[in-house]
Amino acid sequence: MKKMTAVFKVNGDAYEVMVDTHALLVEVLRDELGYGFKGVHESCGSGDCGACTVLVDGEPVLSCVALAVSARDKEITTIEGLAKGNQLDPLQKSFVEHGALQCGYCTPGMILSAKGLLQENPSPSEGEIREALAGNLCRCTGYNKIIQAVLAAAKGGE
Amino acid sequence: MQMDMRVVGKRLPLKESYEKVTGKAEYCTTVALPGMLVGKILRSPHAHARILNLDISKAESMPGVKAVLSARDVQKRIYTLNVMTYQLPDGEPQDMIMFDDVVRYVGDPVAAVAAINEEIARKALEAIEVQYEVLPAIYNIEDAVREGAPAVHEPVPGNVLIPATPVFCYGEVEKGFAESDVVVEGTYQTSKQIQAGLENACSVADFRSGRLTVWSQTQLPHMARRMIAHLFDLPETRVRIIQPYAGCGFGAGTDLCNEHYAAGLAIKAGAPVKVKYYRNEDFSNRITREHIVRVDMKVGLQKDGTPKALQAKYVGDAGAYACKIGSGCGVALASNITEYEFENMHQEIEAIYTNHLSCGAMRGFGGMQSSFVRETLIDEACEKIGMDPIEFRKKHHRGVGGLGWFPMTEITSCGLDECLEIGAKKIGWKDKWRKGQKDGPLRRGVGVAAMGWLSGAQPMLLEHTNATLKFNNDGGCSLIVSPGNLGQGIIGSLSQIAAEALGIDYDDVHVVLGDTDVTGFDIGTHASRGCYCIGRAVMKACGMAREKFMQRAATKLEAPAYALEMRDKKIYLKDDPSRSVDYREIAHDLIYNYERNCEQLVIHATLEPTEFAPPWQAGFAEVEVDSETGVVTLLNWITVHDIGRAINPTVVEGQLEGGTAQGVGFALFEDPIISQENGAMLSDGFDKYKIATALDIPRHEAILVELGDPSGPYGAKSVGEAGLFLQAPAISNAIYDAVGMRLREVPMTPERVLAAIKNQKR
Repeated sequence: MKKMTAVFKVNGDAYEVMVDTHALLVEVLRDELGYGFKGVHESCGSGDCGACTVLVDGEPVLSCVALAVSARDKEITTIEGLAKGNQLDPLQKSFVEHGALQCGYCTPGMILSAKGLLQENPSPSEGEIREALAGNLCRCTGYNKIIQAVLAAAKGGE
Repeated sequence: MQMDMRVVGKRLPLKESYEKVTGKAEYCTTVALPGMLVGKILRSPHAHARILNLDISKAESMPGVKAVLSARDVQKRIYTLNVMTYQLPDGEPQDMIMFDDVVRYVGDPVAAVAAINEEIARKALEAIEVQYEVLPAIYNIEDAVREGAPAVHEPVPGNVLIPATPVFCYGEVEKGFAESDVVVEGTYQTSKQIQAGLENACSVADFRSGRLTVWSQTQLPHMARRMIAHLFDLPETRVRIIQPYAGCGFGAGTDLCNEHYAAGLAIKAGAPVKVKYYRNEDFSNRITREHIVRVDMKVGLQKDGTPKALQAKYVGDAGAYACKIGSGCGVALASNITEYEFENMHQEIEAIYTNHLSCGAMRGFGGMQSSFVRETLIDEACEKIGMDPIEFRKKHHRGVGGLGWFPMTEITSCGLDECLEIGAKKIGWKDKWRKGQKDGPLRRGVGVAAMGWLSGAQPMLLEHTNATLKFNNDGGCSLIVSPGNLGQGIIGSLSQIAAEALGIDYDDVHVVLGDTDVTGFDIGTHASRGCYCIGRAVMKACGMAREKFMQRAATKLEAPAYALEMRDKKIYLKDDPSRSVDYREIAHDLIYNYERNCEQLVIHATLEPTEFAPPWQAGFAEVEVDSETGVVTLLNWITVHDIGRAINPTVVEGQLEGGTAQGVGFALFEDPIISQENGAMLSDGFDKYKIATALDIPRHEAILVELGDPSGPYGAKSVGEAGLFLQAPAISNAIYDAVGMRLREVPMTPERVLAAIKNQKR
């Protein structure tokens, strides 16, 4: 098994580690770096559900089907990196205020996909939000409140 | 009803939302313990086989393997995954043995390993040598009851687990049908929906100092503890269940899943073990929605709509083990009793063993099948007598004092008329129903369905519940309760109830749950019981606490306790509010009293509810059917729900809206397919088993009717399961309105719709 040294820049901090070249990004984020970014939730393991979504250079990436080495030296954002201390990101705040989560397992991926969308398109229509979140499955909410939360966060001038 | 409420009825954020939006929330899949091993299960590749030999020696000797668990490590104890068995004095049928010498479905566990990492654990599974004698297997109920069919369980020849048994019958149906002007009947196929929570099945176990701790996704922690204790011959006191947040549920947590494999491995390895399923393993081995697959129903009405008779036979495909066969049957039939004033009713249930995955419970337990069948047949009967189905429902639904589901119960409240009226207006019923365009390939239609559900399964099942309040010197308190921890909003809702009842703030109440070492006994979360049953226990405890506070204040105010009121953190004389004492001062004095009069207030209330408080609901669908492709597009969905009183309207809407997505899935595209060639679950991933995405459902709406229920906490009834009953029947009725044909099978896929349209043309 081939190993290599790689630097992962996660939420602004650089971690230099030895990784298997075939290791998945989700495995490295959760199990190899620091205390582990446990907010990266893995579910399907095949890119079908979006629970493991993280941002790599601002783009939503499914970390369960991405090789870790493909993200080395790039800016990775996990859900843990969104709030500034106890100050929630406007999207996180909006999810809380709109009741846009229940079990919460899809929430980190959902918020990061929405973050990716708003960075590219600061005032999306409802249809554009649905399109952007279609790869993030939620079994609890029926999406209504998630879409409301993203719309409200966008209007908040993000 | 008390209307000037400060906390109840407010749209407050979930107590757990901060942890969940920041990635800090702990789930079973994120639990990490020092020295924790990876547990994996070796599964049968055959649907039916006898294990002739199991050689674990190679696996055991592999470096990094810490335990291999098989039949020789566990006692041959009969058990069931269905921990709800303890809610009945005689229990439900139990027919499982851990690592039995016969495997009965593709995936039946044969052995399990614990290793230092996943790679070694997987290699160890491959190193286990199993010699099977493959036995003939059966994959559907028709084959199962044929003469000479192989027996799934040897003591049950013919595979009839429950022979056709009448349940909850009354009157004389034959007489009822004779007196009917219109009789409609049909045979329906329903689907064993998969719960499909996003978090894969996972548990962690640790055995140390003679005590077993299990981190579980269970919804019924105390009964799960009892079953695990039974399996490993441990006193219950030496078993502890911890429930981190669960990223799944919807009924899946009313059965054990992999807790006992993690426990067995942890005991043998002497180290903590996590067993986490892969997604395909989850879909193929976590027991699905209840067993019912076929329903024959017949309904008789008089010309004025008077419901004379309902007759039904439900047939269940149990799969390999009985699991929830008893309760599933009971609920399905009981749920037909309350909706309409049928004068005569006869219902039977039958259940058959087959060689595939067994059935547990999913949200809408038994009521999904019943509401789909009953509500479409009612639509058909209304058509025949020329009555608007909304008018029929308003005229003939049961009301207050009418028959509850269970013998000796009466309906406590009913807001169905309001639900029907609001929804009809909102969907534009008068302008749309039977008025859709009848040419061109795209046809539109509207449909309605209604139901009454339950708030806990009392008094049929044990619904013993407990709430404890422990007060701090600032007047805040811990509220110790034991529901499922699924994100359904129960933590916040119970806090709102307690805060309202004690006259304190939402943030003054901290809920402690998820640890059987700490919490009092509770049945847990099933049957839409949490807010209603546990909420009532909270009300009771708060009432007792108020008395304590007022007694203490009475001395200070030199007035009798009965003359006092406690509100907004003040205790004062009802007749003279200016004579008051700060509630926090009393709380402080209870803890820091320097005159030898300290008292740690720990107030505990036990509740065993008996009332039948049904939430009612009307659901309205507007669809567009492409008669050339069979594609059904849902254009609009409206749920109007009689909640009694919404403790937190955002939470209630969230339950209903989430239910809608699952109900639309059940109606249109969720399709669990079991191979008829080898019995394997084919729909074993989100790529094959489609749940609704943000693009699959339209904008939908949940509207609340709040008339109050006399028995519920602040008038609240239930909402947990209620959101997903009516999509299938209302969409089916809307399809009829659009294209004039009736579908009797879910999911109503384009293939099925197109076939029905072609059939109709012929």
